[in-house]
Amino acid sequence: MARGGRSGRARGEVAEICKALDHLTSMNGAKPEVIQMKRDCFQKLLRYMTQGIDMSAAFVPVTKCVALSKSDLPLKKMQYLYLRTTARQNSSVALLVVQTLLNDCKDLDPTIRGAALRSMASLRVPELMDTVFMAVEAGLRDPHHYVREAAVMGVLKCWHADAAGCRLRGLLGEVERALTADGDAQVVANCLYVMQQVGALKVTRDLVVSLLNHIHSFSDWAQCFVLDIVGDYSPASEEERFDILEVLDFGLSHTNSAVVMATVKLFLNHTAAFPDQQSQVLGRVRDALLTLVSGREHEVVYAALSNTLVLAKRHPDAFAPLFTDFYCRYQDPSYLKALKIDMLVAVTDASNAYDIAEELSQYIRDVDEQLARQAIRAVAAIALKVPEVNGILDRLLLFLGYEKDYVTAETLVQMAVVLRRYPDAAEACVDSIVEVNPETLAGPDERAAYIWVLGEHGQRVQSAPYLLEALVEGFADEAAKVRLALLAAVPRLFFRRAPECRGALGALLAAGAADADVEVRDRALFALRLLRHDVHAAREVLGAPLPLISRPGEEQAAEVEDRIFDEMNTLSVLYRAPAYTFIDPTITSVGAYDTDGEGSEEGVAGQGAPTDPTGMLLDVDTRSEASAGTAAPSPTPGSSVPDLLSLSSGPAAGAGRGAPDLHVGIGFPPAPALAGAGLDLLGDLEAVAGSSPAPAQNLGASLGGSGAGAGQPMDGGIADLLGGLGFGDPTPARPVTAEVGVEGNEKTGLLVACSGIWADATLADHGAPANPTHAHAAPPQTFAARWAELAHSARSAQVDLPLGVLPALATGAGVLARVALAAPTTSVRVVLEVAGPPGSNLQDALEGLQNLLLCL
Amino acid sequence: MADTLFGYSIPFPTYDLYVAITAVALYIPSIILTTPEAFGRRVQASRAAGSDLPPAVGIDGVQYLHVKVGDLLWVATTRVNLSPSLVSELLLRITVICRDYFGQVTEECVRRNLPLVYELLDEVMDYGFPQNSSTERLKQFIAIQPQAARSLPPGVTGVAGGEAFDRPAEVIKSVLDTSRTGPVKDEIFVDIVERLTATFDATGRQKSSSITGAVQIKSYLSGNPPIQLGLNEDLIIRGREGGPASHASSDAVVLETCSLHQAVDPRRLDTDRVLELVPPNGHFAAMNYRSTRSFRPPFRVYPLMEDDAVAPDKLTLYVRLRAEFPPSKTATGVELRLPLPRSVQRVHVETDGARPATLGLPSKTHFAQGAEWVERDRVLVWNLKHLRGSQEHTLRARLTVDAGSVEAVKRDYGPITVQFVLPGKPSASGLDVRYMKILKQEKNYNPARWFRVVAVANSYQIRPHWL
Repeated sequence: MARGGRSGRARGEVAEICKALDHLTSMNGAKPEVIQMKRDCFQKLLRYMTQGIDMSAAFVPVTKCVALSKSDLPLKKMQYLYLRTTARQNSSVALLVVQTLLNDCKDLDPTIRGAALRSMASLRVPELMDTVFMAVEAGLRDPHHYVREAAVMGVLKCWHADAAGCRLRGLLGEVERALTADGDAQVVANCLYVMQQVGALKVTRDLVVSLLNHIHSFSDWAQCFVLDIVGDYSPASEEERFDILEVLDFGLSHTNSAVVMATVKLFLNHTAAFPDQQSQVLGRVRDALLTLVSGREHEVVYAALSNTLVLAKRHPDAFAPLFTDFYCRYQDPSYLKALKIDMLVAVTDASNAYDIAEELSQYIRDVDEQLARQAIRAVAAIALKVPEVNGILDRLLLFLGYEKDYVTAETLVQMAVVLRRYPDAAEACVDSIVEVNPETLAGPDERAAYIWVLGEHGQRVQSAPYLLEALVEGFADEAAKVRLALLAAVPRLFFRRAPECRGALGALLAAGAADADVEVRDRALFALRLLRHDVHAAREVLGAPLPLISRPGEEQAAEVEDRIFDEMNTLSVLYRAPAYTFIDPTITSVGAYDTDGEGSEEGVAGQGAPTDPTGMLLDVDTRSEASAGTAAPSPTPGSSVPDLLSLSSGPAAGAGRGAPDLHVGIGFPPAPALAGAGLDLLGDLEAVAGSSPAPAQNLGASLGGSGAGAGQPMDGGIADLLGGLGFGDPTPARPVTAEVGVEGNEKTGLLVACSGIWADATLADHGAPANPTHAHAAPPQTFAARWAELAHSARSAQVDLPLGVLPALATGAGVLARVALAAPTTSVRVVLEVAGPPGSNLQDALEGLQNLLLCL
Repeated sequence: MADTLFGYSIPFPTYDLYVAITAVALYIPSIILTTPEAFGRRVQASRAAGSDLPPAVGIDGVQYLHVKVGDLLWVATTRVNLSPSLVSELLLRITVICRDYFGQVTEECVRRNLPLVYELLDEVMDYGFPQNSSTERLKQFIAIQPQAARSLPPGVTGVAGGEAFDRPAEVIKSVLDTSRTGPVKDEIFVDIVERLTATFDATGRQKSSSITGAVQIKSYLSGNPPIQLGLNEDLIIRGREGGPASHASSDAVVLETCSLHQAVDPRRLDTDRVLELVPPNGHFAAMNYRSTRSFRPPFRVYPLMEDDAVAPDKLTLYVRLRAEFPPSKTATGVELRLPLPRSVQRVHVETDGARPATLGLPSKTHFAQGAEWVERDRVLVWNLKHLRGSQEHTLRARLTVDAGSVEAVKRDYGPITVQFVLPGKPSASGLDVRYMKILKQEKNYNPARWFRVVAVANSYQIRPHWL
């Protein structure tokens, strides 16, 4: 590994060493002081080689020096270190090297024979393979175990260099014989390893019995290897299984954590099919793991705890009483603290929730900001997990007043999450949240969360419209995410406190319609069109509360978790990703399927995005109309509104990350079938723009009737408002293409907007891209869950969104479907089928779709 | 010497880090050219971010696993989905072997002993598969002699915490001292090391506690005779057989879990409460255990934050530290750390002289203490080199805080953490080694036996505020 820039200096060093060695060869090599000088010189030589200097020129003096001091073992061993590297750097000396080594393979001292053989097998110079084969063959029959150990490994080295040659000489047969016949445990272990590596290991009952009988004579590492092999063996009978477990029971109380972990895995594997036995084993396994978790070396604890977490997710009850064992210690490194916080959340149940929340509260004082944030997220996750939450909510409220801005910010984001789960808790929380000064909120996440709370629970806060108005004034300076949040929150509050919000809404839509960001603009235009067209429908859509969520959005799909469980005691557990995501060399990015939000802290490439409140804001669901005090059910003909897509109720919410490669295709059935009874949306919008007062009056009436507004008549109402914006024809005519490529990104996922109602939207079963399946019967609620699943498991899939009945389009109501794609490499086809009752107008349908495409 | 099979590469000059990397390629299906540079960049990035690098990172399909020992990172690389426990244990084992050979595992020692490290790695690993790794067995095959470090670092004994105990001054020696060179001196060290975890509130009430302990042995006995260590007769080990017939005794020593080194005969432990083993040369833990028995806390800390009567932007912080153990014991390396919030602008610290709680003459050695305000980490650090039992000390700090943040500071300081090394019987768990027998049939064989009990802080924390 000579490096270019060093060559000048290197020549000087080579010369220096050669000169010193030459000088030493001229002295009497038997004298102890000469030997000592030689050793010192060799040390220097090796140190130079460490620096990457090619020392092959010193070959002759090195060999001479050793030859003249034959009896000195240290010199010999240093010579081997030198020879191995040199032979590879400089093949011209390789032949000479081999000759030296070959002589040493016949030495009387087994240490020299073994070391020489090991070095020789490592040479991998193709021309010399015959010599190496001979030496290895002789080594396999050596009387000393040290030489046989080296010879067995030599077979594997030969196999990788020349498999055919190995076969020809029957070396594997020799190894197989040694596997059962050799008396030295390390030789047997090496044989086992070689056989397994070449794929020729047959795990028979006899082999397992013989290995287990000698299990105690193996080294710790060989024991781990044997345990892995026995773990994959299926016992023929119940007794055999019990016997295996009994023999290996010692492993659970071993001081070497590697042996303990291998035993744990074996115990769990061998009892997997027998639940009652597994629950017995679980207690033993748990105690063994806890001993490791309380250990001293952080790396060992980390590995053990990662596995414990996987197990605790399966059996939380077994670990819940022991939660104090997972408290952070102050000298724990940050990765261990982060893992322990996850562990605490995993073992939380009703009995320990308060204690754990109290402990987590202490962690927000940690100097590490990321850790403090994680602790806050954990408290919120606990609030979502246990039914009795008031005390935990109080704790979150206390965090709001903590002096560090990032604590306030993270708490606010998490409060928004908790409020989506428990809207009733708003009464207790909203006042404290509103007290937060928006100036102190730096990041878009927390600003968006703050805005969401104002929009969602603004009816409880006297000053909400004015707080929002102030934020709208700074619209242009906000991040896109915050602008989107405003576009969701202000209309939402508008439908409940219209007079106070009118000003803000007008300014917001005006600014939004002129926004440079496509997503923001589309959303503003969409809201605008909808409001103009039909305020009832607009209220259904824009004024609807978000669906309740049941669990934190960071959890992994069950399928991924199962896979990781199966891969216990491997790196998969540390990375929280199945092996194929980081072991297969064709996958370069480890994070491809790392779906855990904390993945990036594992050093994995996956960039975890925190739960995204704007994501929720964009979601549309009108099923739970009553829950937030909106008006009575919609009088619009499109009463199929409740069937709108609800994309956020599953774990995919806010999980969009990476850069999905999206391809959206809009496919049409043959023309005759496309008899949609659509409405000419453009015409309609123009009618609205022409200041038709009807919708506005409707709005005024319904607002008054609902009692949510201030009860004042709205002169001219929304028509004035909208008309004043001078919003003309937004949709230039454009032919519909059959397939459109859409670049999604991590922020938005895929945004689908449609001026119409999808009466029935289902997600087809996903399958391989070559074989897409179509299913139309799944209820819309499963949509989000299916998406999450899809994103986790499929690299490519086809999704069908059958657009049910086109009359829905005629209502002019809209739908925003935000598809959060969790996996960055997912390629998705979305196919929209449009069908309708006879007599509908194809042109209308096309235009409806065109509108949809515009928004894509 | 980037050997493509073993790929160890030391040191690490490209980055200005006190890190040496020893890479061991494990279970290689194909040859890996390790790239210390890529890993080094990752190390550097995590340092810059102020976080600790996780023990496993994947870079371009190569998995880098490391353990950190002192300032050195020992790294293994693999492309196989290995057991991380195995890799960590193996790397730790390699560091222990190195320590057995050249006394200390510091950058200097490793650098001076590079050829020996190569030779050791060469013996421990063959083609990525771990070979026999006991110091005992290796001794037969290792030829290169260790080089002593030029100088021992100062204060090896005084460093607080568990680290110090890893390398007590008197045991910095090589196994080779007894085996190949110099006069033969047989010695055996048996230590009960207990790491205490305890959490207290501001009034000194103990909120939680636990003990993790180990019986650690360092053996330099020639001929490897078997030894017997007699433990408490009334010892109860959950999950194991044996122990006292009746569980009536309430002060019996109870171990929740216990794990044993392979050299220990588990049957003798079950029947007679005796650890019988053939100790291999070098360091190892014969038994690890956990105990949840409540112990008398060795230290109590009482923080108090007082308003200033005159200045509205000043606070006075008193921290009282009391040694609750008997005067016959002396703790060393006591360090108390107290983080203060950002709104604290200036801190003026003073400590008292030694003020023994009992009216006696202040002893000369027990004055050594000092406190300082470390602005960068926003933490008050109070060091006491020695603290004799029953003594009490008070630290007084005058804080100047941002206007109007007095209440916030009172609410947000802490938690206080304490590090210490406290030698002396009895152990916190009550576990004891009553006798040590060396079973060697030889007249006048009387090797030096050292037995110690030490308690160190694992997580000893005082939380002034419970939200």
